[in-house]
Amino acid sequence: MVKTNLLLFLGLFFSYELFLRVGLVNKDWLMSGQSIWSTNIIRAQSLLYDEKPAHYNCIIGSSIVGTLDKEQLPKPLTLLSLSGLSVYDGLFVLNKRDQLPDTLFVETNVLERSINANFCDKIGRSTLEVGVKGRLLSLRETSAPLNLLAQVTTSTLTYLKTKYFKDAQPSQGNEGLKEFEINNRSQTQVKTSAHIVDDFLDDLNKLKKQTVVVLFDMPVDCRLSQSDAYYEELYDKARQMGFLVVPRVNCAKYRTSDGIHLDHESSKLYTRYFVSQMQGL
Amino acid sequence: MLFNSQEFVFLFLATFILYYLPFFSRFQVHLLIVSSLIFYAYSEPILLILLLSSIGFNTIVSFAQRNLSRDKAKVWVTLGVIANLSVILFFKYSGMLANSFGFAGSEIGHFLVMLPLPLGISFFTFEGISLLVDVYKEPSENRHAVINGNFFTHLSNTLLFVSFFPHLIAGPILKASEFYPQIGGKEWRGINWEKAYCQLIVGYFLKVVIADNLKDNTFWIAYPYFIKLSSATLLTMLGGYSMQIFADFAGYSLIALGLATLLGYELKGNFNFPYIATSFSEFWRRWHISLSSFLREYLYFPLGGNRKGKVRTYFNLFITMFLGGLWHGAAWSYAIWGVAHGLFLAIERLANDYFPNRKQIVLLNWFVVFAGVSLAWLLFKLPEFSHAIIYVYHLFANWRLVPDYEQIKSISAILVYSFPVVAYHLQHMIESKQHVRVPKSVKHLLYAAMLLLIVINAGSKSEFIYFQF
Repeated sequence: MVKTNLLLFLGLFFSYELFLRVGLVNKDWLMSGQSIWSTNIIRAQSLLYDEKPAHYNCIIGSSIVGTLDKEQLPKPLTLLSLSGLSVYDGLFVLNKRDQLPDTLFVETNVLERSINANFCDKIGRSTLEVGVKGRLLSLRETSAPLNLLAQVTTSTLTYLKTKYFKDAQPSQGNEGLKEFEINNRSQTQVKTSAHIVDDFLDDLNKLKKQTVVVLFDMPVDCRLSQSDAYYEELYDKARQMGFLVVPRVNCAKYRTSDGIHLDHESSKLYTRYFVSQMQGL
Repeated sequence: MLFNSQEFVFLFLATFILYYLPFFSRFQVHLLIVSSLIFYAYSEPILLILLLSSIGFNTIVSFAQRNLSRDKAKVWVTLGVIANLSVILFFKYSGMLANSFGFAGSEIGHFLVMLPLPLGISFFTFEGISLLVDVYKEPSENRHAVINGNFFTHLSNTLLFVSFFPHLIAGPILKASEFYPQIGGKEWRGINWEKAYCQLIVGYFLKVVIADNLKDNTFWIAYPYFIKLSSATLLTMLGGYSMQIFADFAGYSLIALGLATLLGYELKGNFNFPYIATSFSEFWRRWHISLSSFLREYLYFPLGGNRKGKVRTYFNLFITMFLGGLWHGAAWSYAIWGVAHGLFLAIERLANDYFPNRKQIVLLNWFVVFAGVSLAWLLFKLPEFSHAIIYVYHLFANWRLVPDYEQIKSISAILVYSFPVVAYHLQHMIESKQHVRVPKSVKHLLYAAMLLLIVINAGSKSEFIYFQF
């Protein structure tokens, strides 16, 4: 039984690969994940395998940079925002790519978060593993059959919702949770230590010869912002090492939905500022 | 070490290859002991101190019973069981007691609260108890079934019994009388490949495809995030968590069984399609069978079971389930979970007495059991009792809300990833009740499809839920 089964598995595997290559799957379904984790992997693999412009710029960071208004960002620019993860995971992905961006924008909000081992395992630690996933579509997160099935179900349920529940009350927003989140985060917030900053800058230093590195900090609720002294020290060190820095903005002028993610209006406002700074570099 | 980690695959392959080499045939037991200790102590070698002390103690106490009269053996076994329970009480529950009785602020209280919980302590102390009681229960002339040979042979057998890596951290809880007779030389040609293959494929499929993917979508059962979600989302997440906890634990148990089969040992199944149960007592005969039979045999029956009148039966059920709940974790929410199940069992017994025909309403009974069990699982996900109550409140209060796109995505994923668990149970129900067998070719295709999904559809790696116990 075991031998027959393994042969059958190989048959199924290559049939599925063929099915994906023939292009019978709706491309939109292949671009979105069913969970935060899945979305992170899809974004990373998309950067690794799908987007291959000769020259491009890239922004890496946590979900905080995900609130930047994509419409305003100049092209070609890749936004690698990884929810629940950190810049270190973004750097891991970039290091697996053949070519680094011309300019790399690095978010500095959550430097104390360490690299996620599971994420790195999933992307592939060895060149061989990353290469095999590049060649075989079926090994990529976007092609996971049950995720595709979930996408079909999502489309069907969304259609049914718009047809039969047009006038229904939408789910509540985050407003009620905002204070809880801010309190929660301020209680658990870890201050970034000097050695973390040094290690982070050392990591970036390795890329300096191949790309222009620009550090920036997204505004968050002032109660959750690290001290001015901390940022002065970080950015002074960064400038001394030859990195560029986007000056910080006054957090009091921005509003967030949960303490750390900008709301729609503030996101537009900050993106406008960020783009103007990009152009001035 | 996780069964789904690269380190484990390497350790297992190395052990497996050496194990069946002719040169190692005399040292198979020793090899398994060494591998098991590496497996256990891989991330924290200090854990070995408690494990080895527990094994040493239980070896001495069980060996001492060998030639004792029944009365003297009873004293030894009683002291041994008390010592085992004291170990688990100290390491697992002293922090909870310090917090509950208000002396956590004192120096001793702080020390107790900060005590680390040794991995698998609930499992290996129960196995120690099983060893002592099984030796005691055997008539003295039959004790050699467990205590075979001299002290050192018994020591190595006990080391293997307790530390055998497939079951060490999260069960199934082994019975000494079933495991010791199996210890001995194993041969390559004796491996039941087909059985091991099926157990491993289904086990890994349930864990890495179903449980690990469901986990990313039941994530929002966390206070206070769930309060803004629609009733449909809350209901789906609750059902999804039921499926996840089953897939996680049954998956682990099947992997354990498969690995043991490859090494020539047969462990008893820990799950028997629990979600087809139409009564709570049936559920407990199908869920975590090794724990429920342990509690039945070593607690419920000695308390008198159902032989001492109705009131005493209800009390016995209650106390057994209360302690069974506490076994899961050092928090009152687990005790409440146990009490809830004790209540379910007591009410069911009462209902059976007054409405003997109710067993015929199969679908309703099934629904009541599944709903009760799923609601009780909330206490595993939301250890704060008040949060579980708030969840149930919003389950009903949020019915006017319609899920937004993100919630629809979660609902869809939960439905899709829960379906294989539902199909797994349905297939068994149809096979057992209608006496219809799934054709062999279809089974082949299903196993190949599960293997395919393990390779291309695995979720984010996570620890097994039962590791925390």
